[in-house]
Amino acid sequence: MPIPKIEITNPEALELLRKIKSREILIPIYAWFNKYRWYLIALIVVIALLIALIIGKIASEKTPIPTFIPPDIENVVPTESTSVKSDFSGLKDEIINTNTDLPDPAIPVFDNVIDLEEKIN
Amino acid sequence: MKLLSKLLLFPLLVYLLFLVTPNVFADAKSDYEYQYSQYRQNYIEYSILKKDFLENPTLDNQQKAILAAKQTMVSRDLAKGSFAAYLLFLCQDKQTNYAPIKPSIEAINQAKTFYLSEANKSQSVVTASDLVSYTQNYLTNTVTHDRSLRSGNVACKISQLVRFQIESKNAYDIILPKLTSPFSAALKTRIDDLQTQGNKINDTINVFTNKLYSEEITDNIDNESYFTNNSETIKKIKNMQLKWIDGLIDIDLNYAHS
Repeated sequence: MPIPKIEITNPEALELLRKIKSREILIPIYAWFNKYRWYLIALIVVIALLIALIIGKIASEKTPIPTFIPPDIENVVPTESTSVKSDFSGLKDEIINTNTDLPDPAIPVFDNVIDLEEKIN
Repeated sequence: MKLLSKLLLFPLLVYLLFLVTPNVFADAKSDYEYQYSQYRQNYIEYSILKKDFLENPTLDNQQKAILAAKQTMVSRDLAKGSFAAYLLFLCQDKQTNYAPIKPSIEAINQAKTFYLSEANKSQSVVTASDLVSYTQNYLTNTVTHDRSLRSGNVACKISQLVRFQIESKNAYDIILPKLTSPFSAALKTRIDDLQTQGNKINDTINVFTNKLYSEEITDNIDNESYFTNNSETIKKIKNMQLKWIDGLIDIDLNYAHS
C-alpha cells in the first residue's frame, strides 16, 4: 500500500521547516552553548569524576581485601637450666643465719643487793 | 571389781604424775623464762614493801619486807641457776667436746651449783641483821659466778663456731672421695687452699678461746666492750667460715657433680 504524500500547508510549519533546513534554528542553541560552555565543561568533568568514583567503589567492593597474615614463628622453648644445688648449701645457710651478736642469750639484770637500806644514788 | 578399780586408778595416777612434775618436761629455756618472771614479780613486791618499811618503819612492815626480800633472793638465785642451766644446754647441745672451752663450761656448772645452794641458804634469813650479813657475803661470792655467765656466753658462741668447723670438715671428707683423681692443677690448688684456710680458721678459734682466759680480757669482763670486742672476732671467724664453705660448694658443683 503506497504511502500517501502529505502536503504541508501550515505556514508556521513551513517556517519551522525552513529554519531547520537553513540551520537557523541552531543559532540560539549555539549562542547558549557559547555562553555557558565553561559551566558545561565543569559539569561534565564533575559528572565524569563521580562516575569514576562510583565505578571505583563498585570495583573495590567486588575485589576482596587482602588480609595480612604474619608468618608463623616457631614457639620459643626456654632452655631448661638444671640448677644444681650443693648438698652443703644447708650448712652455708646455717652459718649465714648464725647471730654473732653478744650476749646471746641476753644476760638478765639482777639486783644483788637485796636489803632494807635506803639506796643512795 | 578389783580389776575394774585398778583399770580406773591407773590413768588417774598417770594424770597426777604429769600434774605434779610438769617442770621435768620443760626445756631449759622455758624453765629460765619462768624463773625470771617469778623473780621480776617478787622484786616488784619487795620494792613496794621495802618502800613501805622505809616510810613507816614498824616491826610489822619490817617483817613483811624481810619475807619479800627472802622470796626475791630465792627467786633471783633460782633464775640465775636456770639461766646457767640454759647456757650449759646451749653449749653442750653443740656436742663439740672442744677442750679449750671446758673451763668455761665447768665455771658455768659451778655457778649453777652456787646459785642453787644460795637459793637454799637465803631461806635461813630471819632478821634484818641476817639479811645484811647474807647480802654482804653474797656480794663477795657471786662476782666470780656472775662473770662465769658472761664468759660462758662467749664460750657458747665459740662452741657454735667449732660445730661449724666439725661439720665443714665432715663435708670436706665427703667430697674428697667423689673427686676424680689425679686432680687437675686447678682443683689441687683449690683443695690446698681449702686446707690452708681451714687450718687458719681453727687457729683463729684456738687463739680467740685461749685469749678469753687471759688477764687482759678477764679484767675487762664487766665492761660493755667485753661483748662488743668478742662479737667482732666471732663475726670475723664467721666470715672466714662462709668463705671456706663457698670454696667447698664451688668444688662440689664444678668437680664432684660432673
